Amino acid sequence: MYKIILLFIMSLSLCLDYSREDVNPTSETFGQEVGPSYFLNQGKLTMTIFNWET
Amino acid sequence: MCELSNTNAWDTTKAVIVGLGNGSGGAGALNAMVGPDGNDAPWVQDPGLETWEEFLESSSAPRRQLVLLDKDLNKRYQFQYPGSGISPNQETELINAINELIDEFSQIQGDVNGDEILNVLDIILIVNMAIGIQEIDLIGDMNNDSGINILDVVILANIILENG
Repeated sequence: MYKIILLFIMSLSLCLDYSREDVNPTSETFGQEVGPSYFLNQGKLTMTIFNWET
Repeated sequence: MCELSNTNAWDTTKAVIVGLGNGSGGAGALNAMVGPDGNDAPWVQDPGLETWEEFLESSSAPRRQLVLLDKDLNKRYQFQYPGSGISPNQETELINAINELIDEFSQIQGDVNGDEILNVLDIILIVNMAIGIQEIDLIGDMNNDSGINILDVVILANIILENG
């Protein structure tokens, strides 16, 4: 039982997600809170590019 | 790199690129992400670097990294690219990874023979797995218990009957 609980907790910790405002005015989701779970609900996978503006 | 989303190199109805910055560039900095052909990829800010740390496991992780999540929101691929841009080989590797995840995402649970139809042919294959005469393929695991048995056969049969 303990192992089952531990595996469940570990599986939760592996899920990566965020919900942040889309600030690109040319984007379809401009102004909306978007992230991996948002797009998953629309049937889309998410690829996140980590970069910063220069 | 976000301009890749405009190239239709993958089914953009199945996967989306999101740019994530630290908010240091100011209002005009977004232009850096809008290429000559336009860029309609979502762009979000992470000034506290919480998401940066969660995904890249360090708030000081270098930029120009791309993280691909699967349908369970687990990290499946992580690529880092130099400042000079993405090479053709790197682009090919990335596109292949994206399409692999899309194919996996598009699989119909129970569609063991991959014909995009749930019918008796899939039931036969699941039965074969359950009785041990065919290699297990978890696409037939209808109840997500990491195994194939009579329960999966019953679930699939009910689905097929409901779809009738």
